[in-house]
Amino acid sequence: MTRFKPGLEIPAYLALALGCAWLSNALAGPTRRLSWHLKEPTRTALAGLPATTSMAPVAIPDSVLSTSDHPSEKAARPLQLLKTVAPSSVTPVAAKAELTTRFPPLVKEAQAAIRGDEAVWLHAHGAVFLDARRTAMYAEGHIPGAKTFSAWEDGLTEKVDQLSLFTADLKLPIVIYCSGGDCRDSHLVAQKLWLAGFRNLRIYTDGYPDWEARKQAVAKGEQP
Amino acid sequence: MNWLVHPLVLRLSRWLLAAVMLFAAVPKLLDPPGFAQAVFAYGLLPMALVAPLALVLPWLELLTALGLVFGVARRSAAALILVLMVVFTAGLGFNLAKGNPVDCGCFGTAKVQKTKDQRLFDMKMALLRDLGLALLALHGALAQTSKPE
Repeated sequence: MTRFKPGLEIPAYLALALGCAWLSNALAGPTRRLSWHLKEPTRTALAGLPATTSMAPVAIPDSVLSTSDHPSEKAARPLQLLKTVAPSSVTPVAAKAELTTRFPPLVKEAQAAIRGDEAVWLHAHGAVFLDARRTAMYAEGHIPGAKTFSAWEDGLTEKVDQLSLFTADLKLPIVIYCSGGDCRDSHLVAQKLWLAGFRNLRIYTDGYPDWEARKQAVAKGEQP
Repeated sequence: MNWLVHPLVLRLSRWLLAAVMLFAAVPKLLDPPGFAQAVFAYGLLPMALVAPLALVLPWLELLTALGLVFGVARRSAAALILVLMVVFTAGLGFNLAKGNPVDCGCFGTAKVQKTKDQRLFDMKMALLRDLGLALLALHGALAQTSKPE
């Protein structure tokens, strides 16, 4: 007769699965890792900044968004970069005005959908583009200049924090896209950005397939 | 119904169940974020539970499959799989009833985007498959061999 002690064995299976999951997730690379609790973004990183710097619009340097594993480096670098990068890369006032005239900050809703032609216009006028798809899909092809903000991979909260740190004007339009259709990933990313204080979030609903169909330029490879 | 407790029949049923669970577990273990995306699409869990489920469930599938093959707490493993199948069936059935086409996510995430109708059809097939697997699991959990294996 087969031994059967479900009261002991089933909890043991569950505990073992939990342990294995914890260990494998801890050892996984950044694109395979999943955050255990999908945390809400914070803007505490901004608390220590002098008021004047937070007023000037600042372009996000590429290097900032590629996360560093070294904690002390992570903490020190953004402030340092802000000081050195800010004066030279201020978005021209005219371009900024053009962007917010056509796409004013959203008041009633957290995010609004845009069509493909609007996305093309925003891209041409230098709006920030965020790619909510998986990193692997980003590497296969993405909208030039877009940052990878994968909705499901670990590190999204840190990316949102860093974006808010380097985007002094939270009312400039930000375009978020994924693979179109019933893809909800860009909405998830938008939700996080809204909680971080961004107030002009535009969802490119038809997403990357539409961008390709419009024969727009695409970039390949991982984010530098 | 004596044949149901024949050692060979039992072994075959357990191995078949274990093989399916293994095939289901591996792609999910290799891509937890992709599985979390699939779990989220079901729209049944609060956000806080999506990631823990996506991380633990594939390991549970793998461990119970190994348990069935190597004879470690076999009947408990089968009982656990039975519970999983009931949960999967309920999740799929709920979305099917709502007419909400979701990617099953059962054997990893789909590489190509499917149409709504394709998904709804696949969901019905997945329901049938889950019912079959639930029967195998029930067999594994309840049946005892008449003589020691």
